[in-house]
Amino acid sequence: MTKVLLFGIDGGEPSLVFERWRKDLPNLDKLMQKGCYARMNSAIPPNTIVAWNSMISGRDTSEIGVFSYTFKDKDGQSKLVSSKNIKCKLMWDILAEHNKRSLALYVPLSYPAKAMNGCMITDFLTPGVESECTYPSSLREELKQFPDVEYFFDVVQGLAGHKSLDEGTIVKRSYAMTEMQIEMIKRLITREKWDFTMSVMIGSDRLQHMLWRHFDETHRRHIKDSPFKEAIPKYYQYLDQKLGEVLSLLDDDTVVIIASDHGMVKQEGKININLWLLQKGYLVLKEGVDPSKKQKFSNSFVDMEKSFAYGGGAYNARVFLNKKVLEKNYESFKQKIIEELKAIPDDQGRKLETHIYTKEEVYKHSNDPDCPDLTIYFDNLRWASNPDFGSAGMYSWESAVGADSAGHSTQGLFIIAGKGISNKGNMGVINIQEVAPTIMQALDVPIPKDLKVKPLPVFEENKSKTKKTVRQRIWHIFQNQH
Amino acid sequence: MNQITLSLPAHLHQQLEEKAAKNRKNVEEFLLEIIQKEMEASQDKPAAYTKDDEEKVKERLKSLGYID
Repeated sequence: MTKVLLFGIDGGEPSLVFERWRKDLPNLDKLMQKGCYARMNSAIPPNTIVAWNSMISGRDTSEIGVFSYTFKDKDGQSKLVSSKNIKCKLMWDILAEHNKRSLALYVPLSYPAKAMNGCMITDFLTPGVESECTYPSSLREELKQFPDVEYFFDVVQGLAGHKSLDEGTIVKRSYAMTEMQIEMIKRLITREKWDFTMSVMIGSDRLQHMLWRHFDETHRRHIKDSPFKEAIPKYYQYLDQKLGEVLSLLDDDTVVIIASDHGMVKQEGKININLWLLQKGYLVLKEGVDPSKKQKFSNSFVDMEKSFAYGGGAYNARVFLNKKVLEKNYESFKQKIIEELKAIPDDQGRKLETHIYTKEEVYKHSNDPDCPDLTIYFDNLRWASNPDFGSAGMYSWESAVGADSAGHSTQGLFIIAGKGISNKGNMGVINIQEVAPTIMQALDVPIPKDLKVKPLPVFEENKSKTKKTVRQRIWHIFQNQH
Repeated sequence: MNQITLSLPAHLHQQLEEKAAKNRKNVEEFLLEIIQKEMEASQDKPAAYTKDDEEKVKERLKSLGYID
């Protein structure tokens, strides 16, 4: 029986893997040569938790029901999202209905772990090893045997932020974390029965966010001759080597997928979205709120009786329009503000390549209160969004929190090879939602009727698992006879 | 299953039929799905994090620029 292993490289950048460093990544190169590969359009927005869950459900952001890391609870309080916020079935839910067993390892937004047909170890949103981080819970005892278990889920623990760590510590802990995660993959795929295994390596994302400017000579804040200039390429090589070790444990019936949720792009700076809205007169603050004072933006600052719009977001900007005030002018105002946002230049007056998505055009369920009216990619995400106050002018460069070196780009990578997979090589560009039905087809599981996306055309013709209709079969016989 | 009869205005029923057909469902299946989703969404779910745990994880995410 065919099995599928999905090895996720969080933030795996296609231009680095497919081109720049391909010759130094022998295992990835071999898979590309044997099978198919493509750049993969990420979810909108290309947010880690949304994108991975889109990949394993085939659903859009609104169907998953998660738009960012926080949501407003019934009392309007900002709460952290968790696996309990996911509204759709994920791959292991669907496969369990067909008696297939899954191993879900470090998949973003899997905390707290749920009972499933298989095993689960949760993701970087896990508070610590004493929490509900495994299914079955007995697996937790095994994790606790690792001497560095404190860094099993992420490179920082407790209240310390990534910025509080020096570069050397981030690099050291990324390797320690990956080593433990790979070890658990190896143990579980060899001792457990499984049909589908998925693991996500988060170390690649962490190192790229923090150290991108150390190697990218085009970065405006590039650090010349940095001792960390090789940190990212070396980590990709290390991951490739670890992937080789995992591949050596698989049998010939396995289809291997390598994928990333998004790529990475250097961060030029941040556009102060709420200061811009304030300057335009679209945002009106409540009395006593001083935007020149350094402070985090809060929706409670907004005078909802007078404001047309307010903003949020980190790598991408999010703008919420106030329908209550705009009323019948909603549509015309939306068009106006879209044009104005697109016209925002960079700090030197240069035009930006800005893309704006309205909720109606990209989401199936656009009435969700957490769904922003506009999702904005300033300069295709080379410029991030800063919703906070206290910056002078329209632009800011470094923030008290947040990585300033690189952000998420719109395309991740996809490679597939193995049993029944054709050797098409470069397939161009695909969509992240197409991965889920492709996995189902590889495992011979029916695709849910309401899933709009189709499997990718990666299967060998004579091994195609697409069920032919009677008419197609008759036509096929007819063609062969004539 | 206990069943009840629900009266709907004709135009709404027609709209439902069209929407249900688009989703490859009959009206009853389609309505059940909507109602179930609504009920689930309005239920209080047990919190996934303790207050301290939530602060820890939020701080991590802020330092990455993942939340503002």
